[in-house]
Amino acid sequence: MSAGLATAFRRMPSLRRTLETLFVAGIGLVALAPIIAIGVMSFDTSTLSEPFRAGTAAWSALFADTANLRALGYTVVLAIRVPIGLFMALIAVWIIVRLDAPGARLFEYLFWFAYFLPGLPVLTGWILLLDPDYGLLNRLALATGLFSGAPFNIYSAGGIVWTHLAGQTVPVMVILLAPAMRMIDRAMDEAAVLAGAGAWHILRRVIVPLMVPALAVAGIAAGVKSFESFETEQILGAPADIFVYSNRIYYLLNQITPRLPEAMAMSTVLVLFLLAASLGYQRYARRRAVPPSLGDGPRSGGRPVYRAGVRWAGTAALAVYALVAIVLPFAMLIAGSFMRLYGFFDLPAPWTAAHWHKALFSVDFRTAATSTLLLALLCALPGTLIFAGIAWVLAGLRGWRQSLAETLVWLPWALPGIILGAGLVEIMLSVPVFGPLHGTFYPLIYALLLREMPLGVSMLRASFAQTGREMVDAARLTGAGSLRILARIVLPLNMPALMVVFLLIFTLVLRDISTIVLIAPPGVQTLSLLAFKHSLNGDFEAASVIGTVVALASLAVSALAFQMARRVGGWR
Amino acid sequence: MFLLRTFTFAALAIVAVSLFVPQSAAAQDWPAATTPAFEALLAEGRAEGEVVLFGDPLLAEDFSRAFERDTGIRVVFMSGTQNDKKLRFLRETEARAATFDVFFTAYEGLELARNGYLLPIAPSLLLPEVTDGANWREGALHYIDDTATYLPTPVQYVTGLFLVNTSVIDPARVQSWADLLAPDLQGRIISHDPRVVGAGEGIANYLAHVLGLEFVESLYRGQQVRLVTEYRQVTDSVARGTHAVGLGAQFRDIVKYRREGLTQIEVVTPTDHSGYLVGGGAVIAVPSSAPHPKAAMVFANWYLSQRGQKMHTGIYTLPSDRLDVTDGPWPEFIVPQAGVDYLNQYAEAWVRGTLGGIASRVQALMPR
Repeated sequence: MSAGLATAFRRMPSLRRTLETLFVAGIGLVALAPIIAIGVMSFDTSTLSEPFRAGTAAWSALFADTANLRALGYTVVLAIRVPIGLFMALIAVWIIVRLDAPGARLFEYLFWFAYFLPGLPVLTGWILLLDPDYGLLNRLALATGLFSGAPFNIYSAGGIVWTHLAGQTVPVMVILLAPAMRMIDRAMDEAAVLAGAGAWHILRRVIVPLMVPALAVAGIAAGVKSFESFETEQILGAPADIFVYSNRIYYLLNQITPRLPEAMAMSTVLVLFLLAASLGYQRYARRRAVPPSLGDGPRSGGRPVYRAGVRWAGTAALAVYALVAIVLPFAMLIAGSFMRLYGFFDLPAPWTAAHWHKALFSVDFRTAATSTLLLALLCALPGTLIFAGIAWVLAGLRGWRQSLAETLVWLPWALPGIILGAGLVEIMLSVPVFGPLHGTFYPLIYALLLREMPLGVSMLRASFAQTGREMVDAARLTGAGSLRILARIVLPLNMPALMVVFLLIFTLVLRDISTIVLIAPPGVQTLSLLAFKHSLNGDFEAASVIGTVVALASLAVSALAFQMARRVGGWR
Repeated sequence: MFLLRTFTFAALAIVAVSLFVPQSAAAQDWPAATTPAFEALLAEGRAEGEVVLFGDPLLAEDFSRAFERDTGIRVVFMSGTQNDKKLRFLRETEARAATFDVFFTAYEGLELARNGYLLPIAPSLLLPEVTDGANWREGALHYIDDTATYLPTPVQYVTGLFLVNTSVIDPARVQSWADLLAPDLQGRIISHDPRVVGAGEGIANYLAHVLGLEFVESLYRGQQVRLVTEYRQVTDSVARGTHAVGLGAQFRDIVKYRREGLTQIEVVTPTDHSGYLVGGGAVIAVPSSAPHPKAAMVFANWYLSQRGQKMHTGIYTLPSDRLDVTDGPWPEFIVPQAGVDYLNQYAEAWVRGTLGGIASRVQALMPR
């Protein structure tokens, strides 16, 4: 935007308001389209070859079936992992960011690494460790003579909660909270230490209050996302008769004639739940008089603020956690990839490299790797810029427009990939103008970006809000337009957050199966589909190879991104 | 504009990369015998250039390459989980906007076939080796649909058997379904979960049909059967001796475990009800809106020929109904035996007539 246009824009409040309203309408269209389709589908009572017929049969069935209600109940109970995860992640981030614990950077990489580890092979690793009958840790515990029975049971609510905490909940929260905590001025710690406060006291009285908005966003995000989780509950929950919302959705879709309207009605309930959470958060945010951080951001270099004993204690705590929750399952993953038969250590010759050869030297692997990389870049590069643009405009909105736009941005978060995909397919097949897009890359990119939009935009929005206000004001006074300020000041200063968002989108493409299968044009084969192929074949060994490769590749990408962020944006 | 340029550039890059993929030339040794009608169909299929297959990712590599070699028609493969695939197949076919030509299915296509959403395959089967009944078990290629037109199922195998660990239980003690109700087997049976689609569900429905719902309740609830959703967990648990008997194990896993020296696992065919027939997802369906209908029909001919069946059954470790596809890697106990009257679950009579009524009652018995 040129300086002249910017001036005209400022002098014409009605034009500004019109453009802002148009922006909110645009966001609404993008975010609500699949949700409206899902809502409409929940009222469809037609049978095959009949046109749409409105009715409430699916909604009646939803509330009449106790299995649905029990599944929703279990889902809420298992969401206990969210507050537990928040607490663990807060401590971990505090040790990494504020205490400057020795090895902090390594531990942060490890959390990223844990987030990238593939679900099913790692889950199998946990089973091998914690199965009540043959789990290695149980056998070790029994060998000590301290226990009369197996102390761990992976097939339980506790097992499900632990698996989620270690694999997803804590890592993703560390990723979300670290940038926010980095923005808190170090002078606060220094002042508190000078005043004689201990580390724990500073955490409770200084850091936590400043982190509340970020904790709230991370809590809501993880809480709603926990509803989407499927695989872990399906495998660990079935023996203990634990079924959650997402299992129920899959059950409904898996009938001979899929009960699509009922599944859509159940998803609509979740969207309503998210809507309530989002409105509640906004009400809370409005009541807060002060912004989350008053600082100028991090300062690098200088002497550590805290005593060496405290810092080393932090390192020890992180080391124990990383060993148990990250290194151990990864070791099982690698071991599994070299085993003749996954988990059978007592075969005459249990080790082999044949699975690596078979998995890595197939045409499938090369095709999938190329396809995945292209698709991930195709989504992550423009996606990061689009999210930055949305976050920047959001930061400038006021009043009802801001509240509405922020709520709209969050809504797609509640939808599992398969439901979002089904909604989009419905739009393309039912609305003639979108018909030509069906089977092309465009709806796939749209769907993948829509899934990450809530988190990506919110992270950037929070990060932008903490950019030094005086720099933006100074730029405005010198006549810079909004676009120039965004490009020359805001984006460079927020490079770490941009990198995190880039990686989140990149990772989603690496892990997603449902959205890709439902919407992708023919011929798209990704590494996640390849790993699924091996699992389908009962070939956990080859799936472990692919999982290990994906995790290592993701780690390399994240390390590269961190290096870039450090150079461009001053990441500590 | 920037975004548009980025997308366009990316799309051009993808097209450019695809240009370097070598085009396959047709092999000279297939088909063994042909007809003018098939040659005309093959020419039309080649003119379409490609066929889009939608199925298990297991078929994406060797199987697809073999078809390309034999016909000169390029394969574009789509795959995914069972749920995702089924949803896309049903919705696109119903909207007559299919992006694929051939879908590998179980019996999901029956309703679509009855309502005119699928192309008839039978009239386009033109190769003598496919149409000659002498090449097929029971004298003809089987179809799921009663009209024997839309949904050919070239694979039928026996399932509904026990897997036992002979080092923890004498197989002679578990020779019939009733034997599984012995008090000392309580808590020692593991099964693929009947509450999700798959082998476990098939067994529970079968037992409800042949032995009644009371037996199902006595077995699953009374014997506290451990229910798991990963197939391999069944074989794994029985091989370790954690459970004495397994239901719904995948035969591929059993073959693999035995090959690795775990010979204590054995399959027992029950003497009272000897199992039932399924098609292992080997049924093919062609939507009426298939973008390459001629190439799809060439594929149908190839798939049902000896060459196609050898490839398919080799990958899945399942026997073909073709009599000239023998000596594959499948175990003998899943091959249907002459003279045994099996219940066929891959038949319209079962799916439309019996399954719906039984399945919901079985589900109601299961813990939720």
